[in-house]
Amino acid sequence: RVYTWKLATTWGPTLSPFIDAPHQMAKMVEEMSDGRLVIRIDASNKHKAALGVFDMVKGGQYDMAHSASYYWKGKDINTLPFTTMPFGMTTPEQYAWFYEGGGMELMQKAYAPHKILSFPGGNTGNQMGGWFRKEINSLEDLKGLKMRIPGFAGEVMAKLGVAVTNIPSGELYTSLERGVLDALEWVGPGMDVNMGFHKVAPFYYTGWHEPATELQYLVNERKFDRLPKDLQVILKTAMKLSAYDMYIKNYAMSAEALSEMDTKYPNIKVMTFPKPVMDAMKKANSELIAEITKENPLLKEVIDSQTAFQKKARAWTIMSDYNYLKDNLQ
Amino acid sequence: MIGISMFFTALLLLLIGFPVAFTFAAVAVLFGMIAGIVEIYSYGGFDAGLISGLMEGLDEGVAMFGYMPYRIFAIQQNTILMAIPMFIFMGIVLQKTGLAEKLLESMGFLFGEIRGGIAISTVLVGSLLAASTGVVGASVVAMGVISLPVMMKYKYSTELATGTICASGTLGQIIPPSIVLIILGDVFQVPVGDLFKAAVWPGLTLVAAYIIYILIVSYLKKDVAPAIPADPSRGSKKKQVYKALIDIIPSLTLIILVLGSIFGGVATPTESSAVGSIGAVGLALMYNTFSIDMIKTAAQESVKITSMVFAILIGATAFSMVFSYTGGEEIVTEFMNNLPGDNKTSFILFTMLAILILGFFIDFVEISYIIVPIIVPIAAALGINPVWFAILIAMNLQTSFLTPPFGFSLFYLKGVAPPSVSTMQIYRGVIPFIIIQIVVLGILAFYPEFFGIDSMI
Amino acid sequence: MLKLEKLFDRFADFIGAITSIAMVLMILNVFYDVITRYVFNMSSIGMQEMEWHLFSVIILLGVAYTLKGDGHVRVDIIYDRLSYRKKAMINMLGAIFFILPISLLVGISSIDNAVSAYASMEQSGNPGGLQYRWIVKALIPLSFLLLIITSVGFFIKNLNVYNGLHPLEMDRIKHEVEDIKHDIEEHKHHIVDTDKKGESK
Ligand code: NA
Ligand code: NA
Repeated sequence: RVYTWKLATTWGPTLSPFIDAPHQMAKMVEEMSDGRLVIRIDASNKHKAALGVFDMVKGGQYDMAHSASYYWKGKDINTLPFTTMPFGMTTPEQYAWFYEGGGMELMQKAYAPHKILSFPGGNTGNQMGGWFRKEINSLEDLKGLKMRIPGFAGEVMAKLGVAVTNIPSGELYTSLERGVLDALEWVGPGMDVNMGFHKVAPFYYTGWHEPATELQYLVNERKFDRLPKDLQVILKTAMKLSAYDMYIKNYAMSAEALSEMDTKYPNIKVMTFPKPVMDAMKKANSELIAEITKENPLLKEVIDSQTAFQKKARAWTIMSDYNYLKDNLQ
Repeated sequence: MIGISMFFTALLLLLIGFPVAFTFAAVAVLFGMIAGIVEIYSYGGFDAGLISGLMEGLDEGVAMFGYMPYRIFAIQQNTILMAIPMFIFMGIVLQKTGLAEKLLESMGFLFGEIRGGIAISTVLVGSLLAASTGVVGASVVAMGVISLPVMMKYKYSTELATGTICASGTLGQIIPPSIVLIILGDVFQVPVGDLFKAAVWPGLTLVAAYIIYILIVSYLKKDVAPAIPADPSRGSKKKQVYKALIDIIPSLTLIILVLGSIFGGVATPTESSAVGSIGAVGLALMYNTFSIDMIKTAAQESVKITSMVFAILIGATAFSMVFSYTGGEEIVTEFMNNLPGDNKTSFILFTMLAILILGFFIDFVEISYIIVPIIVPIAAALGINPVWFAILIAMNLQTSFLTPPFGFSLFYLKGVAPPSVSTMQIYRGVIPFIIIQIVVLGILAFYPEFFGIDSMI
Repeated sequence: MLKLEKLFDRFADFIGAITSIAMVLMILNVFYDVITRYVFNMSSIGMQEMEWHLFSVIILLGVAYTLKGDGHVRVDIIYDRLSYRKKAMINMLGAIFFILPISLLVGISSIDNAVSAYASMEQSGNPGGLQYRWIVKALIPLSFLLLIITSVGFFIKNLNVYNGLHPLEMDRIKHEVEDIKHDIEEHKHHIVDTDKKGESK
């Protein structure tokens, strides 16, 4: 028999490369299963509930979704660390954690109470720290700064005195242009240039808060269990492959956009936060993590596992990539 | 096919006259169930028997409505739409301060001595009110009560007088801030501020076109809008100009508060509506018209109008959900892509004509939430600039306020006009203004560069 | 029956009072957020979220309140020309076949969502955001419950009209026009008075 599934995305129909991952996955599934599993994709313009996809998969209105785990922090704090954490692992380190360091098992454990299965869904790589209208030279410059920066990173910023502001994404550009916002963070060159932020906020700071943003496939567990074994394997394989492909595609897009940026928009100034600012962020981050893990044993287990793995993996990253890059900058 | 028959069923059922919001919702329920049954049938679900097949089909239909809570929750969080109640509140408070009437009086006397003068001052006041609020009903009624009797007393033709009032009263829908533009900003997913900015020139062009028309008509036909004799008791010309300037201050204050706070980077369009509301209350305090009762009525009225809009939005959400899940959108897209001639031109012509015709029968809210979402992706695929297209639609929808038999503006005016003014006179009166609007709409459609807007992305 | 109708009217007015208060609070809330951000460079996500919480109260509960004053827009080409009895009949049938099904369908299907938000004590995912998200989620089933209650009142009112107990209320636009006209008449006196220094009227 033919299984017809529905997948809801948090993204709009044109948000490339995010939206490309589920489309590619669905295409692979249909071909590999010889048409026995067909997945129809509804982007957020169709289901109209971008952040309702978790509940819709849980409630069975959709069989699966493509989104990001940290959006569900308010529903279940244990789902927070599976996207990325400030000052956390890089993409290769994090993939190693997921597939070889026990990350996948912990993720299923976190989602089990919701009868949902969760799988990696593509990575944006290191995200940029955001577009600022003014240069940040000291901690003082952050005080009262009006910035759109959602989620856990926003909490870190708030601790440093930033006035974290919620603005609907359609109004972001004009808000930044007119000074309703002083700064905002989005993704990285590949996606940011499309939004035009460089035209109004020329200071582009490097990242610290989302070193390896992993998107996520959500699957309704009951629906998954009803699939024959071979279709389950096909689905899992296609999800894994599409996630890796998105990472590659995003990498290429960012490289392309960056070279375009250098020639087309020479006014953009790429900056890094000064050391005292970075140190204060790190400190605020550790304090916040200590606070949220105190009453959540599973969250503590996950973050401890990440920290331990990061320590080992980072040693190797430094030994290999860091030294290689350091010695071959020209 | 379900999608298309659903659409016509809705149009037919609307004629019964039960509230639009619930009619759309009911059609959605009916066709959701039909779609469920058809789906189960097509998968061979009826093989086991008619009754079990039907039950399974109804289950499928019911399941579809399981999406509704998420859609409604997304509407709750839509901060762009939050501007609607606050702009309505601001308009009602302004109306209750009586400042519009004062302005109308002083302007009327100022321009009364030239032919067509009172009509022209009605247009000017209409546009000032439009830029400070944009609540259609209040503007039309205010002008109907104040300037209609004056125009009739001085032997203006009833057609010209009523047409001018209806047309000026609807300017609020195109001149920002505007509820229509907020809704379209939401549907098109473009910044409301951009729409506000882009609507300024087309709106002012309309104002200029109205005035030129009045000047020409009153020049050509002597008895249509005679000049009124100077009234010495009103003081010298200088004093009159001074008084008119003083009376403009309140509307100007609101315009500066609202548009100034948006374009000056103080607030988002949504926030500017709160700034404007507080500003309007401030004016009421200054002019001694403030009372707790006033706030109470203004709040109640804005809740009512807002809920009316949102009930339609919720009904339309259910409707378009079923419409899109039954493949209605694909049929419309295919139809649009197969229009004869150059795709973009025929698409614009067809959609404008369709909206104009629908505007004769249904309200701008229904058009914005049912029809526009279907054509937005097609316009995007054709590379049409959404800001330009949204302004075109807004201008087109503004016309629907004037078109008989169901133009809102006409109802409002009929409600306050003396019995000697017949419905037919009002209908005849608005025709020239409808033509003017269609001409300006045409210019905007084919010479957008004239308004500094690009037609393509 | 008339007494029963009054009872439902009072209930609807109560919803009206709550939503009106929410309306005023929302304006103050948004204004406060603009001022604190623009003047004091401060910003509270909790207060920003409160904006749409109040907005939810207005739009969701207001639907039921608006039904009482016949505030929902109709296409009245034919409706306007019908007799009171026929209008009342349309309204009664509409309450049963148009309002009830959607209210039950969406009302019931939205309960789970609110319950699960309550069970998991769902809160905002934003820094400093609000807790108790189940409350705004519970507004959806509540709104349809209130709509069902007020449409029972609406049904009774129209039944009374049908039975000739009282005429149907004026429609929305006529209402609105009367109100505005009344206001303007008041202002007119005021204007004339100040202009002619209390000599006339
Ligand atoms: Na980001
Ligand atoms: Na306006």
